[in-house]
Amino acid sequence: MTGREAFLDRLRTRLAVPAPENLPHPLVPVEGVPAVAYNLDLDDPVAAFERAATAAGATVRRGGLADAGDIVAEVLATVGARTAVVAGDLDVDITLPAGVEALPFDSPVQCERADLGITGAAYGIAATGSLVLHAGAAGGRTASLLPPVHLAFLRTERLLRDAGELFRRLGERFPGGLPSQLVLVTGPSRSADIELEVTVGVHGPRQLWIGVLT
Amino acid sequence: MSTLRERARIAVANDELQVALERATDRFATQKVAGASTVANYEELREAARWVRAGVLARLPDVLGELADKLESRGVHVHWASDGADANAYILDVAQQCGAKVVVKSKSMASEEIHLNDTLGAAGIEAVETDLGEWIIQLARETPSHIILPAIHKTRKDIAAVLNQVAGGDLSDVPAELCAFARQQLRAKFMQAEVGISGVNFGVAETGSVVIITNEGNGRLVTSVPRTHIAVMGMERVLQTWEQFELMLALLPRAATGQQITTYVNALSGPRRPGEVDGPDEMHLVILDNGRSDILGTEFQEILHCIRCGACLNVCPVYRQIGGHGYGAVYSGPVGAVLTPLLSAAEEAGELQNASTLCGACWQACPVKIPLQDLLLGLRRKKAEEATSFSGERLAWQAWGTAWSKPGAYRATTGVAGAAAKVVPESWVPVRWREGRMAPRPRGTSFRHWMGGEGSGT
Repeated sequence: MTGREAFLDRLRTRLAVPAPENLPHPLVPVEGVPAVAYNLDLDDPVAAFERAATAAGATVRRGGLADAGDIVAEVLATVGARTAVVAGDLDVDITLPAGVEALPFDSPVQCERADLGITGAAYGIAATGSLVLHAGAAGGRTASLLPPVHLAFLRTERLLRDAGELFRRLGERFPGGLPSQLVLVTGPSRSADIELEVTVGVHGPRQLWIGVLT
Repeated sequence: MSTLRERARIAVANDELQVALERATDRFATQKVAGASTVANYEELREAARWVRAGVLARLPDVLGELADKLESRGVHVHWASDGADANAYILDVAQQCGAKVVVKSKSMASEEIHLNDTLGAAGIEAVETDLGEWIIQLARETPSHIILPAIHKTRKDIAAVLNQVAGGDLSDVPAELCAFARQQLRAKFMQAEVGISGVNFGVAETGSVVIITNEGNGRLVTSVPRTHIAVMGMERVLQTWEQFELMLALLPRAATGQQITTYVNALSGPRRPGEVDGPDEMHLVILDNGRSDILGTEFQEILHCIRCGACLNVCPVYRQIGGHGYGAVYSGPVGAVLTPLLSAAEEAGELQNASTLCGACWQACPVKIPLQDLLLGLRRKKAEEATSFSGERLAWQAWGTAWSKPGAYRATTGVAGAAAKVVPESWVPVRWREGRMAPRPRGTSFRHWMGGEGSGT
């Protein structure tokens, strides 16, 4: 018998007799899985996204496609970046100014060297201010993770109301199957492990900038 | 090994620990209430989550089978570990095949449970904990004292002293400076490590995915940078669908820290695919039984619904006084008081079910509504039933139960008890009972007599 069969047979044997009912607090049957009812104003998803992302510690800039370059310039100036990796499939047109070295994104080692990672975003989630990134995009797993600053461009038509709109329709959103990694990113990396004081950037980016483009 | 009583005494006498515990548990309990208020149907979601978890457990062999099939179709190696030794041997073998000298880990209670780091260390492989709190306690050679805040018992001064062992004494106790130092030290380990080991918050069978939920991002680094990723999952930590996951994702961060969502929710469905630029070339999932299957089909099965948020710790009047180390086990708080005796046959674990006031605050806080106080009471009953040796205490209780089920005997004995309590000096009461309690002093007349009812002669 293989390890798998022996393992699962043991579970089947144990489950052959159902667990006795907890009489003081019996299970209550629930039909389906209820949707999460957020106490939030989501009528204007862009405004809701900006509020939630800002509350999570991200810096949001709104604009049209033509404003992407200005947003990049502002980030570069603010953080004093000298090197950047840019995800190859970015559907906004940006040019790095002279003096900022563009690193080819071919491995985590390049991302580790970069001061700034610039990626797109597959989706945004208005209720929580989250970005949805994945390994199938040109930013891979690490362009949004290893540099100390991450700038993501999110197109407003990619904005979903809440996490349910992603998770309940994953199949149609990724018809070729899920990429090997799918990650929701909400604000910069944070830790409260020292006396509950929130510090940012303990492992991932210290700063998250989001350009929301219409 | 020390007893619960000894550990509790040490914890209660530690002023710094008491301050740290109060600060953390109060803050988290308050934030949890605020977090729950951000959804309108929180109670409905808890009830549904309980039902969902029960449904998954009832179909566990099929759900695990589907998860494994889907993962294997994406090239993931799935290992079925009946116990900790089995899991450790497999993980060590994989690490050695990779020629690993350094292994980076993100937080995994399951790997704490099986003492994986000891196995790797004995084979000369350096296993580095990368969650900031876990790294601190690893350097201090301690164990986690809270499920989501492992170093909750340490002050910033303690932590600075620990990190200065590595830094050579240059660090102040400012958290931002300590974090920056940790980033620099641990980033080097990430880039160097051949293998990353993570826990799993939820497996999702529908697509063959494992999800890791973190705030720091070390869970992403562990699963993105090293060439091999090994995930370790307790066998019950699985769901059937992403719809169910949406529900759990709404509950877990709110119950744990009051956050509406954690910074990172990382779903992994295999090693790097063709066309992807980075990610591990090899991925393994270790599914761990280690005593869990013994709980299936028993009255304690619902403890396997637990999603490890730590909410029951924060509200527990016992945990709030003695902290995680008071429990002397990997899992602490109400969930630990139930789980530890069930997972471990050790005599020591047999007293943990008494580390509870049965107030039910844990049940109220639990996002999947586990009736923890019922389970604790059940464990106490089981323990009493298993006591086979002659017990004077048991005989006394039986006699008392028989007597007080008859009105005449009840009336007669309350009079005697009242009179006896007046003449018996308090020093006759056993010392252990008197510790922290005051013996009741009778008023002289019984309540029935005072009310002028039956037995008062009117």
